[in-house]
Amino acid sequence: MRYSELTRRYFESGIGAGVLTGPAVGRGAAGSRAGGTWVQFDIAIACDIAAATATAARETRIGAARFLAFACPHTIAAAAWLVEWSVGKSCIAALPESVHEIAERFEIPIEKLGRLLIVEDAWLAAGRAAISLSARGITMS
Amino acid sequence: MGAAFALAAADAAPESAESLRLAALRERLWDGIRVLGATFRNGEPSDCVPQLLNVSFGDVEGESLLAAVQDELAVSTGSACTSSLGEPSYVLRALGRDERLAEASLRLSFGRFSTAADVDHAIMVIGHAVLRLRSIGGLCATAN
Repeated sequence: MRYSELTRRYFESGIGAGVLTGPAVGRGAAGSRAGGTWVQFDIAIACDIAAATATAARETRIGAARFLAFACPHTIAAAAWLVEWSVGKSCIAALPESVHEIAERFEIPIEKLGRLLIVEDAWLAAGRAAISLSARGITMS
Repeated sequence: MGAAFALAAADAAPESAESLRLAALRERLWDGIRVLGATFRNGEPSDCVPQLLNVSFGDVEGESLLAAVQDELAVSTGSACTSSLGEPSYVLRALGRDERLAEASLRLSFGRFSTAADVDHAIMVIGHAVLRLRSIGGLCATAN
């Protein structure tokens, strides 16, 4: 399997790999190790901005994010890129790009698009969990 | 040509100096790899050719394992029968490895010019890759 330079860079660096701890962490996972692809995201919303907004679900910003992945290099690279991109961004209830655009960015073969859907499912689940926490006033200290 | 065949046959004899040297390298490699834990040697050591070690790595995704080592090591995955197919080896599956383990298997070969230093380098590269991927996969405590 050949990998693009961007894929290799994010796969080899593993930037953003790990977990966050604390009550303000929204966690979402999708896939399974037994099935060959499993991804988990932790997202924490920054307190100063979240507390200041009346419509937290739309205007919250990500203070920190991490990922874990038992997955192929393309999936690890996409998850690492997503975590790196996300910090400071307000949109956490959707991917920043469509699955097809991410596939194009990393030159991911079409037969692997299903793995990006697992990334998307995990991201959305973590985003929803983080938004739910921030709506209850639970954010990063 | 006949002389070449004779030399090759002499080297390949189980008790030849070259066979013993290769078997020692193979065991050195296995001893360095097995400390990683969740590693499974494929094939009966006493019945194996001396220049070959096939290992399955638990808690590691196979494609990522190969990608993580292939810049430094010329290794193959699975069995010789299936290494070009990009799918789990039916040979390893028949040996009892599940699909994930069969995918996460490396076939390491030695040759006349392989040295103990080469083996030690391979142990370092494989160990680093396995621990890093287990960490990214949430399967050991070193995730940062």
